[in-house]
Amino acid sequence: MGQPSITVRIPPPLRKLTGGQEEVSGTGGTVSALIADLESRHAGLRDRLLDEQGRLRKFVNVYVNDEDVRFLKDLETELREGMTVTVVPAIAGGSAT
Amino acid sequence: MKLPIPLPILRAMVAHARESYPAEACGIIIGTTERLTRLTRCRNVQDDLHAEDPAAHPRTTRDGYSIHPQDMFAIMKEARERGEAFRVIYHSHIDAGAYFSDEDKRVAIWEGEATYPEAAHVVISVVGGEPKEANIFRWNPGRREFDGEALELP
Repeated sequence: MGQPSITVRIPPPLRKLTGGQEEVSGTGGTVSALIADLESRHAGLRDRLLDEQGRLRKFVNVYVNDEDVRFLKDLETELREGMTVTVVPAIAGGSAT
Repeated sequence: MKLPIPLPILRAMVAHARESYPAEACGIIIGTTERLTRLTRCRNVQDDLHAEDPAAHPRTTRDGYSIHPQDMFAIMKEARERGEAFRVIYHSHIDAGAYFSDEDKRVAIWEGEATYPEAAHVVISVVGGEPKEANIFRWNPGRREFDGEALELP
């Protein structure tokens, strides 16, 4: 059986890596495998999403359907055919201190 | 593009900033390319982040904000279903000016691009519990910077 096919929503600052596309497809049984698959066609995506230790960057939130992967199994969250993965950059800030 | 903020939405944003004092308020206004339609108050989770890991998150809600990711996702989903997008992301500064701080910019710009290019950022200064002034910062793709402009408070 093949790997599940997943729809991935890419935020605007990273669309230069996807030829301007807002949605791309990828395959993978976990979020981690999906990112590796995307990297093979959209080089540079992995480093934008993961830090040097291979963990999700602090300001990057990843949703599988409607669930934040940090409340699931993080990068090992399992994916099934037809799921949607959404990358949502955090919004934060504050006054000068 | 300079979308006007309808008066009821502007009032709701200022009221949120006032009520949240002495914590920074934050929220998102969605709309079409022609019209802002809805303001949603967001949870500022900065105190939770600070409690979990004060070294990584030295700021509290007194001088920082982080929008609850679930709130962002829910508003993004709502906007998508309505054919709309984030148009304004707002937050307040406590007993400080309505400037776009280095910390604000660090997050609002990613990879040299606006993190949310269709959204302007509004900063409201709240001094002693009262909203004093506000500025709106719009992404200038040519300069790759935000241009600020005063926003008149109701």
